[in-house]
Amino acid sequence: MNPNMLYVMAGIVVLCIGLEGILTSKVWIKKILGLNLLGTGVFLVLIAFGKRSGQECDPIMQSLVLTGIVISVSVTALALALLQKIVSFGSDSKEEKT
Amino acid sequence: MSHSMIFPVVVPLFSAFFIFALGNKVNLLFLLFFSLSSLGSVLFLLQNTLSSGPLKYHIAGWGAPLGIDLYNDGLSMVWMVGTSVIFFLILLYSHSYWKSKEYPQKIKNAFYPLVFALWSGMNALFLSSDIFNLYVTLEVLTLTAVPMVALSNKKAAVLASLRYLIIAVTGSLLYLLGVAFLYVGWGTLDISLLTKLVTPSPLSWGALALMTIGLIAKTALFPFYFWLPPAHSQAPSPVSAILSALVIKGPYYILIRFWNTIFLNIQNPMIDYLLGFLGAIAILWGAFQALRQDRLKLLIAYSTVAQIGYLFLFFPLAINNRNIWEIAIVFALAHAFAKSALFLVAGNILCLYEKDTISQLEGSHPYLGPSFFIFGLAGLSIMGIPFSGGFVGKWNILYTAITTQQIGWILVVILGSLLSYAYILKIIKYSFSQKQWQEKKKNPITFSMNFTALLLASISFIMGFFFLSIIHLISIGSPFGE
Repeated sequence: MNPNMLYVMAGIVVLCIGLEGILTSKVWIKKILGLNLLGTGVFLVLIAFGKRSGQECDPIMQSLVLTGIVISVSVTALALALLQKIVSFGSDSKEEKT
Repeated sequence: MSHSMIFPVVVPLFSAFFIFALGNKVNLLFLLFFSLSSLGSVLFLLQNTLSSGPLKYHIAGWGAPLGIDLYNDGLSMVWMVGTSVIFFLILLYSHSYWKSKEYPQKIKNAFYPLVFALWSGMNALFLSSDIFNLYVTLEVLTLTAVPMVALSNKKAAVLASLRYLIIAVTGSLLYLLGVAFLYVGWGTLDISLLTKLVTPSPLSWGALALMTIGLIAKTALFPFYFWLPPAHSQAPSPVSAILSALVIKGPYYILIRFWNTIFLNIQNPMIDYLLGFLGAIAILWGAFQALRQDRLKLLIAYSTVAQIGYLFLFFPLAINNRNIWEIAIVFALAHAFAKSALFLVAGNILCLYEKDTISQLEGSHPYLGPSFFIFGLAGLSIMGIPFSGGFVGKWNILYTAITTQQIGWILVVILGSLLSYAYILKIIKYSFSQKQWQEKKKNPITFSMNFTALLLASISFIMGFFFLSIIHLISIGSPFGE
């Protein structure tokens, strides 16, 4: 088995853990972490796919992942900002009825 | 002149920056200038497409695989013109709406740049000719649509927007994994090259599955619909109109595009039947839920869930009959115009008495006459009354279902239509009630609010009369084969 497949497998495991967190967790912060894990797993798979046996690393895959990371950072920032806003409303449910 | 292709992306994007920089100084004049130039850039491209056929453009002279390509044919052109007209009218409406409801300045300052950025993202989505760019534009859609939901500044709205964000980003990442599969298999990201290369193999089936799941989660097809009603009903009304009419159509466009290019050779009728089946459940479940709601905006949001179902009925019908996609697009556009009109009417009602509880509309018709009329007019297309835009869609679903012997869908369409009559008439019946109104009038509904909503509703209705010219426009560059 070539070492690249190992990275692909690792990436798939990481993204499955992330997906599991998003789908099953009841806590928002865990869902956001799950989203990050899912992203990281996908990026790992992309990078590992970029290196095929006996070839140079594929620069296109690297640039794709770079773009992906930038998007992932902004998504996380937005999610955390929204979560902070939710916390600042407090836990009273009167607000939700109006 | 193929440089015209870059303007529909660049002009709204720069408008977003300028409006953000202007901040408090943004007034109707600025808005008109920026939205008219954005609309103008799309119409300019339309004129070029009509005269010289489908266009391909290499940004900065770099072609694929290193550079970014834009491609424009009838399919992307029709979507772009439709969304741009809707964006333009909703922007006009929102100006009066914020003013009439005395929204804080902060919200206006956040809303306008987001709308223009979203507009630019939608245009980029329709023009992209490689699968990774489509991922980027999908994320632009997410990152601009989600904050707009949170603009209501209520806890429920922010919760809805966070849920929306998580589902939307999960969908995009699944799509990105599909992109990785296609790239490792065939070494290119360009849609037209992939179309020629992709062969049935575990990699292409994996990509098909991942991309389809990701995109239907973002389109809110049953069973991934649960984020839609809270997000679309909690957002301020102009935002709801944009989300329901346009944002969910972005991923749907990508699905149609891929079904007719990349995935054309690896199609399996089972997948089409499965999508149609999910669509059928969505039609019945969405319409049934819409009927049960006691808040107007939730009713309209569930109606969107049902209408998305019709969009997916076209998948099994198109198996041996790819021309039906043209009808799918007419139907999607008619829904976009009608749904935005419905949400703008909900905005009128919220303006007038701050709440949208349906039972309290009893006796409100002296104040809401035009609004009820617009609601009914847009409702005609949602119900599929002849000769509205929705009728063209439903009629062709029925016709094709009979000619291709898929009789099961007919029952779904008839039941779904009956339920949609019920939930539209549930609102309209209040325009005939004799009682006195119990509620206090809060804010005035201005002429421009009624006028823009009326325009949207009328376009959705008269679309039934000029759908042949839309189909003629779609066929430029024959996206669905000869």
